Amino acid sequence: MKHTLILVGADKGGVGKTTTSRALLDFLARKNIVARAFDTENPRGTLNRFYPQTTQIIDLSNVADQMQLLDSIETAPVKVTIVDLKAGNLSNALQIFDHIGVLDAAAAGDFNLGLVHVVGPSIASLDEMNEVTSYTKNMSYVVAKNFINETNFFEWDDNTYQRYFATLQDAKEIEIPKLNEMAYEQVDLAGVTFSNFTANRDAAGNASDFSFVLRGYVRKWQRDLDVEFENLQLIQNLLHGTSAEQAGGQQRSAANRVQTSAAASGNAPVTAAVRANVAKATNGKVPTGTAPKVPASVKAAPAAAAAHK
Amino acid sequence: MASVVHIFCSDTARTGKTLLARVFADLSSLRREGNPIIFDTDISGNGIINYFPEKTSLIDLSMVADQVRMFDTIMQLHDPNGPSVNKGPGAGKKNNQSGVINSAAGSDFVVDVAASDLGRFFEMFNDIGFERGAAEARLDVRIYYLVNWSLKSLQRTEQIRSFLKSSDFFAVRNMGIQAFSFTPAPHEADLVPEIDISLFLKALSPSVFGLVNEKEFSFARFASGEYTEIKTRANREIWNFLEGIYNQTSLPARGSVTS
Repeated sequence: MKHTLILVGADKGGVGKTTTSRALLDFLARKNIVARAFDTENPRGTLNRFYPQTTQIIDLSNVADQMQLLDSIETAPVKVTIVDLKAGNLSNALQIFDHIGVLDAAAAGDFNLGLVHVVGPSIASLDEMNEVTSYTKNMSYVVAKNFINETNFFEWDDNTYQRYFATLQDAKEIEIPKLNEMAYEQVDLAGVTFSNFTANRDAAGNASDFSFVLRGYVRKWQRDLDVEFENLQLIQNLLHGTSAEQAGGQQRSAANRVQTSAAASGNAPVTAAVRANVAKATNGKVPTGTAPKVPASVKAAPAAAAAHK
Repeated sequence: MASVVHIFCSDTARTGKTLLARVFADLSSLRREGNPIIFDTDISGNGIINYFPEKTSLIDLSMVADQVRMFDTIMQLHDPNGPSVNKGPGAGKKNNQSGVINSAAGSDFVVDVAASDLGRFFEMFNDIGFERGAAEARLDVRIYYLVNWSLKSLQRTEQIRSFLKSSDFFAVRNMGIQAFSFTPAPHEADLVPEIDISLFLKALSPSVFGLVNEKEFSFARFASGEYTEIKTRANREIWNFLEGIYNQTSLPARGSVTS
């Protein structure tokens, strides 16, 4: 399966960006799709608080951290990466990704790239959409209208919104349904995932005693949200594979093995392209000692595969 | 014996909902000391709280904290780990308006849903998965729907009955109110659902109706023979009324509250 990189961002703060990332990670986990996450809210990430095992905090302006995120895309055993972009950093992040060739690599089909753009009801949010369109040509661009924070979308004149939205080529729209404030607050206080909360489990997986009513509200919210996510092609590809992948899966598996070996040796095409661009962007000053943190299990995988042969 | 949640509701006010709820609350109190725990969603204070001020909590269904207080209290008493107060805000708190909620494990519950709260109540009932949770906790849920004889009420009755899965549903016709005379207009004839009335409340004479509606009147004390001053005819009428309810709602397979 081709790697999928999903960016979750907004230029405006407080629109529920991290909640959307959490919801997405939660959705994928419930669908048995393993994902890893990067939290660019450096140094203290909110996403990391809920997903400490799967989330790394990085500083996207730091080249070493960019490499940590991008260089392991092909080699990571986990095929989905969620990047929670720091508030106010969406345009900047896209610029960085463009500069170092990530968007080109995605356009070349090296991996799937999606952007979930969480928007609020202000004209500023509409303007944000216009600003990012120059970067979204070759990715799945999703505008997520978030109702989590009591957002009243009637503040938007629908005609105005539709006019903006119509200019976005191939953009998809989802609505993050409103979650009861008290339920949201309790999940937040508990510092657990939404699924752990509904399962009445604390962060360590032990039985807890969360409110039955609030768990019910979260469960309902998850159901509503599932419908929204499942409408996205990007997500459908993750759940069912692309038709091309389904058709050509067998033929490609052999090629993938070769590519995986190449990736393990540090010569993966994406890695090389990104490295070259990082070097270009930094005038050749690629920091030393910034080798991607490829988990030992990944490094062992090709060796294990070879041994199996 | 499994605890039972008795839910009394109607789409119309003044259908005898609170009267029926009182009967079950009183009979339930004979089963076990402290029984039942009562929730009244009529926050004007004109509902069942008038008859059981010590056992009733007023619940404002528009407030999530109150929703938590009601449903979590019910579910907590079926927690195999005991009736501990949960961490949810508002859950298990003392009710300043009506005294302390009795939190003895194994209690029965009476929920008197104001007609104006019907939609909100069942939306929440569905949203939070109460029926499923109750079934998992082996808690019997019985819903008594007081049908008003109109097309709208009949349709609403059918609508609620049809989405219930594991709860017992009683469509209740109170013979003491209105004439039994609903005749649909020709264009409405096909729209009238077939409602199987499972509980008919016998009509009470005006004098007996006035007597049992006095705040001091208790069906439990009546059944215990405490009201020796009640005349024979009225006495018989009330017994007939109670026996009618008893006979029509006994569910031996589940263990009736009145058994």
